[in-house]
Amino acid sequence: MTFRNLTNAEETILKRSFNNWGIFEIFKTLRILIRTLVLDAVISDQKHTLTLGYSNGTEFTEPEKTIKRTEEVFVHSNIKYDNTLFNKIHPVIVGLKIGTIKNKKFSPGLNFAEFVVKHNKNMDYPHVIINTKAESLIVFGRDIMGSSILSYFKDIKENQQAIILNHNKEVIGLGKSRYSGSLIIQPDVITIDTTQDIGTYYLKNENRLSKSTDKNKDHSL
Amino acid sequence: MDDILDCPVLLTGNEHSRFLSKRYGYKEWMISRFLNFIPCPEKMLEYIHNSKNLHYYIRVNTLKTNPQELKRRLDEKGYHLNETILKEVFEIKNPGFMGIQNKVDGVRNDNQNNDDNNYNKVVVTAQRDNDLQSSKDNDAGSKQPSIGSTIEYLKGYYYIQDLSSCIAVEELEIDNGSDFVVLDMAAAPGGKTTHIAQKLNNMGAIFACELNSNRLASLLFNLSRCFVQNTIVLNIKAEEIDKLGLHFDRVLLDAPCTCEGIIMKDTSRKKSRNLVDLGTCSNRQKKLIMSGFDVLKPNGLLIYCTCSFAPEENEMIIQHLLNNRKDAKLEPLNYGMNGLTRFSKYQFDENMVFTKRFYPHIHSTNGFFIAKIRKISN
Repeated sequence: MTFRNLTNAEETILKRSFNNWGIFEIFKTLRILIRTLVLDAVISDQKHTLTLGYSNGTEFTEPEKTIKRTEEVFVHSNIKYDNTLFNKIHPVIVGLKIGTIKNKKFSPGLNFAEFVVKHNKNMDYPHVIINTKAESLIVFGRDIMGSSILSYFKDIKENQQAIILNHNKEVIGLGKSRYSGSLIIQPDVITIDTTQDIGTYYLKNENRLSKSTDKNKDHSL
Repeated sequence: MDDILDCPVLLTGNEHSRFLSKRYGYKEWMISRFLNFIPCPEKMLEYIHNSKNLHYYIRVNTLKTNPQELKRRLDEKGYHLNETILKEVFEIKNPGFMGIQNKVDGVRNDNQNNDDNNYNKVVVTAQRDNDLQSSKDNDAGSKQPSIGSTIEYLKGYYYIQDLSSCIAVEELEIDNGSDFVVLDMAAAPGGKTTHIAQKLNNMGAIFACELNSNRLASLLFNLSRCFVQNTIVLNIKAEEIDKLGLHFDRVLLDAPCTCEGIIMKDTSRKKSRNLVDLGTCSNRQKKLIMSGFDVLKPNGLLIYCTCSFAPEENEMIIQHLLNNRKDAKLEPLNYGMNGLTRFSKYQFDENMVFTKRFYPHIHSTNGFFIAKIRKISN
């Protein structure tokens, strides 16, 4: 398990995502590192599920195409040390995880959303702002009813990822829209499925990681 | 000279120590020792015995907010915050349901370093229930929700941490945004690591060591919650840090200890430790401090701290370093009571008064010890 720099393909994927979320200008200011997480592998036509297993380069002898990988994306503010050191000292984590790349797509995490909210002051990204009453439920995973939405991104599309904000415009989760445009606020209907939230996000990782005793398996946030 | 520092030191009990141990539920060997080096020991035992004397502190995470703004928000939610000697630390007078629960249950961790940080872990694992509870309570407009289940907590705007722990980081002399490379030798659950990160304003670099895989989870959780970007987490024995060939401007050694100083928060420690544990901790602390000091850059600073009262884990560890490293120099600290210059038959370096001790009944903090050591430049 090592941290490495971006490949050209990964850089393109991330630049596109940063651009889509309106924070392209900060891409070049961040030091971004990648760690490969192997989730599934097909070995000799037999499928093995390896929960949070990491490729160490010797574990799998099958061709690359049979291995399903997720690349974890980290930002690190340190500029003193490079991958040479990281390969030597085998860190558990370097910096802050902001999301994953899988199937050539970037899936943002909550920390990425923090960057978006901080740097895209015009708020021209998919988002909804919810009321205080709903906030305490949504931070622990409840989906969002249209009547809980105070305001929203006008161009929001169906099945689009959106940042969930509270009335202070702080990130409390990520969700996926079930409807587009003004249909997002129709009452008595769930209009946003909460996919990540600041409460469950931490609870899940805390509980999962604290159960693990294998030092190779307890690294992911 | 070092052989005279063999430990632990067993002090003879008497009728008074037997009476106190029975009254407050301690092992007698602990009481007989307390009577020898803790100021007003009976007062401390009585103070610790009353759970109403427990103090709670939060440290504002300046990577995400500022003290004034957080105070305003928590004030609006009904929390009473008092200022402390550190501008980013508040005492919280009504921490809510969780505080009471924590006191009742106690928190166990075996031979771990500090502290208060356990509180953060408990808060997290209990968060869902409390949040649901507090949500109901809010609707009813009755009880105060837990300080560990607020949106501000989940957002990483503050860390629940004892004032004494914050002072240890304060003494590292890290200017805001400096480019230091810092080593945190026993990092989990991340209270001091995240504090260092905010002192560095996410610049420089922090190497955070944690050997215990199970404890890594809480460290990673807190680093992410507090939006820390400059940390490199290592799952290694901190004693072996010198093998990596790295050198540091600052080293923080919040050493794994017997945790006598947090008995108020974990009453099981009145009886769960024995003299063998004390000896084991002391031996490991000696190895840790030597390793930490050896990887310091010239003119670098090492802060050694424990949440223990035991001189075998405190002054005797510092004396061990001074005996074996001539370029180690104790420097004065700004807060706390002077460290011991003698214990039992042992006489310590005269500069041991520069080390500081914190007592619950005097400082309203955990029991704590801090020493500041400079590596003299040739």
